[in-house]
Amino acid sequence: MNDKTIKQYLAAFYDGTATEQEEQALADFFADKVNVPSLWKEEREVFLLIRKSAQTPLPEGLSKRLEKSLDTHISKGKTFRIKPIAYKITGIAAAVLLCIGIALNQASFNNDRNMTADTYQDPHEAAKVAGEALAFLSSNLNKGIDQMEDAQKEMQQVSNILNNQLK
Amino acid sequence: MDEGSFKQQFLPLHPKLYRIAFAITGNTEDAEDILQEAYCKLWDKREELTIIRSAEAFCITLVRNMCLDYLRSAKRNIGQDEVNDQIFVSTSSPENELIEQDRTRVIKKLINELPDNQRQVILLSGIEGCTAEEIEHITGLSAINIRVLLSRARKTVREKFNKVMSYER
Repeated sequence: MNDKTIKQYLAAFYDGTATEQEEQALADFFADKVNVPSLWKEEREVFLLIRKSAQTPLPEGLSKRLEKSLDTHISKGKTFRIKPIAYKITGIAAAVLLCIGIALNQASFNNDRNMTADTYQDPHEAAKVAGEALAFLSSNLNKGIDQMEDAQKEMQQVSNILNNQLK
Repeated sequence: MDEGSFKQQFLPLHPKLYRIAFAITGNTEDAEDILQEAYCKLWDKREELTIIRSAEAFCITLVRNMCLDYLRSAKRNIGQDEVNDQIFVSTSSPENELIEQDRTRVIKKLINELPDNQRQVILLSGIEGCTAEEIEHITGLSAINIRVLLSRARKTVREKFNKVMSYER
């Protein structure tokens, strides 16, 4: 590379217009420490230092630290992912229980309906049976009332005796 | 996307993403924290990533936005910008090594003292494989603005460095 080209590339470098190839050509030229003419020694140093300093070195162990932090994040995510599954299972179980509950309730309601259904289809027969049932109820009621009246009479007698004794 | 293929596809992008984060934040710890968070976000969005045309462009945009959010947030440690002390050593003799380390430190300090936009452009232009279009996208600046900022940054650093060296000589 001749002096004119070096000058031109350096000007482009400091103007921010140098292409990657031009920068690389300069870097290659200046890398040869022995054969660089003394005219370019100062320029060489500044150019190489600026170029190198602009290249940010990676901190030691960065890659491992990144992978470790990612692994930690992934493992945390795995435990957290159990929760939605558990919620789903709980939800399904609750829905199933609700369905069973509704079905049982419906069955029980149907049974109640069967119990309250008409026993007799023929109204005459039903009236006859109902009359018998009412007569049976009435006779039992009358028996009960008679017994109650007897009991009341006895209680009255006892009360009279007590009153006489207390006088 | 499973864990293995995610790592295989996205972890190799970390050098470029880290350098972009460092160029924007100017702080190694902040850049690393942002990158760790970015990978966690990427993992959470892994199902969406399968339909994205350029995963690299998506990652760059994500890191850029996270850095800008960070700079806008109160979390930013103002005045904590640092000179990255890791030195490239190429010279053979111990004496030359020390001189080069010292001068590299000076240059890095000068770069760090540049205005934010100039520092970002000079660091982004130093990232291997970072195209002009990507720099435009990351900085949100036009190609002409980037050229002007890069030129100012390089010229300022050269001028100040020569001044420092002239005091030493």
